[in-house]
Amino acid sequence: MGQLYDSAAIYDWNGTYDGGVDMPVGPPGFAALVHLASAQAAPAQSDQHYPWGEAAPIQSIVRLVGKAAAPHGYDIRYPWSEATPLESDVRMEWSRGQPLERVERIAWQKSTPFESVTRAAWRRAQQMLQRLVGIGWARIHPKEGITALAWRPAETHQIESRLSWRKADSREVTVRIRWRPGAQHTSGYRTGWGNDPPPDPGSTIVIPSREVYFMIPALTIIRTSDSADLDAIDCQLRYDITSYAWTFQANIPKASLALVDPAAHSDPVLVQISVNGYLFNMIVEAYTDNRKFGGSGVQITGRSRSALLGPPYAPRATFTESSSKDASQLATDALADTGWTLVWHAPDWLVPGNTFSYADKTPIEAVAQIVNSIGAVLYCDPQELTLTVNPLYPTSPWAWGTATPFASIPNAIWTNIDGQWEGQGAPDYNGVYVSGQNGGVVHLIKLTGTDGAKQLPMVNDPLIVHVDAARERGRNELAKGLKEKTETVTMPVLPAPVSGTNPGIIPPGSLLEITEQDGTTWRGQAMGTQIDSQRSGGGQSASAGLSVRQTMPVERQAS
Amino acid sequence: MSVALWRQFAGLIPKAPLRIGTITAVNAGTVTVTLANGGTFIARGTGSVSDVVFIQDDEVRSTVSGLTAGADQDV
Repeated sequence: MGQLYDSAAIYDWNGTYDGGVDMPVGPPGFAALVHLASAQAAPAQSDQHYPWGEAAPIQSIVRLVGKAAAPHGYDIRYPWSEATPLESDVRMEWSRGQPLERVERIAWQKSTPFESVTRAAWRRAQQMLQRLVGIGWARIHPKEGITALAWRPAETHQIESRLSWRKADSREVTVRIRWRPGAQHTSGYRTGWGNDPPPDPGSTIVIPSREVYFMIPALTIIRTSDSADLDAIDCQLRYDITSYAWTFQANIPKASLALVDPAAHSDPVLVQISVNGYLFNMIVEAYTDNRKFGGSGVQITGRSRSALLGPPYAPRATFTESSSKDASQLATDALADTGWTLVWHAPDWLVPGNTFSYADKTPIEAVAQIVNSIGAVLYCDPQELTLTVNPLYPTSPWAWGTATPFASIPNAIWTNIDGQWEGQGAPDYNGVYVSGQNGGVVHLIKLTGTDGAKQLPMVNDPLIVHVDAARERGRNELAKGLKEKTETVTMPVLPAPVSGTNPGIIPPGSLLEITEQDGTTWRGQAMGTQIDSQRSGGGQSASAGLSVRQTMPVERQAS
Repeated sequence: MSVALWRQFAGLIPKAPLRIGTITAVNAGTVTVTLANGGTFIARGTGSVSDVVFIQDDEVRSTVSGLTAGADQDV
């Protein structure tokens, strides 16, 4: 404001002012001066508005022009009145908030079924576990169940890390066999370092469910005497549950035939077949050959060494046991001096003297006479000179649900299942009379809880001289008489050795639990096995890709 | 046909089952036999009432002695 009054333009108008310091303006009553000053102040004021910092001095002029302040006040009110619609907007949002809350309530309601799904999964896990580990473990705490399940992936992991060892192992085996011929060396193979612990007897072998199973299929057939390699092209091994010997057929190059030619050797030639590390000691019994333009092929066939206990190799004998002996002892006696060991895994009973007798029978036929009397079967160890007597049905089919399976086979490992259902019209047999002959016993064997009125034809055998034998025979007869479905399961042969996660070659008679593609499981008994080692594309060269599969007819009860 | 093939073939034919029964009546040249399950049928041959006999192909083969009937067994 001081600037304003200092301005010469203001005070020069009448020319009377001498520029004295003490008289800057005229007295307040001097209107002309005031008017002039205010008129010129207005433009100055507008200029001064831009810098806000100098607004304070202008305020005094604003007071002078009272009217100008009024519109300014209106301006302030306008934004307030516009705030009202804004307020209504806020209210709108609040009113929309309510449906949102309802949505949230619906979401909570949906959480209930989710919870039930979780429970269902637990129940399924428990059921699975129950089936896997058997009745004793059935009622374990769910928490324990988690622990058990968690172990499975851990085991899986181990398998992978083992593979490299296994490869090393088998490689060393091949070297050993070639450099040191001899049957006893082959049997020492199993005790190699780094092998997995064998599965606990009585526990289920659980094959882990994996996306990929890594294995290098291997097939070798060598002549046992000098480890000469036959350069096998392919091979098929078979065992039927009612048999006493493995059979095999293999295609070999014609050049290899001389090594094993049955016609050129007086005794059967022993060969050792190695499939994925599993060894089979076999004899070559016959061959077929084929000559054609551009090539020739030879197929050799044979059986396991247990064939030497039967016709035509073994001598026949006639015999009567005059003293009382257990059935297992009678069977062991029949194999005396053959080098074979008999393992008895079936019910045993005392046979009085002068009951067991046979005429012109080979050792294996004499054993079969005893074994058949109770409906049991023989299993020949593919490697050792061991015959095992097992019941045809180690577990009765009506008790499979609560038994401990030999192995659990996940959907991921089996490659194919062919089902064949039969039994249309067959009655549900529930009883059978089992009889001895002279000096024997007669019993009606019936299913628990039934009257045993629908009977199978009566069976009798001279060795049914004890209730235990009658029971066992009747149990197997009734099991055979049930309606069944045969499922032919094909799966790879996981490389040796057998472990808690690898059943290897599944022995006939094993109770299996198989998981279907939809996750359901069923149980059945393997009634045989067939191991096919085939070259890719039906190739006739030992260098072509190899695949190894085992195929098992699995008997499943049709309910 | 080789002997082996004949044996294989013959092995497929089921043998006539050997049955055990008790003679309940003696007829002219035949006997009426009751099996353990209560069924009765007529077989050729001779015998005495209450004899326990082996029957094969509907013919009495021989008598059975010392056969003891035991209690029913549940499996």
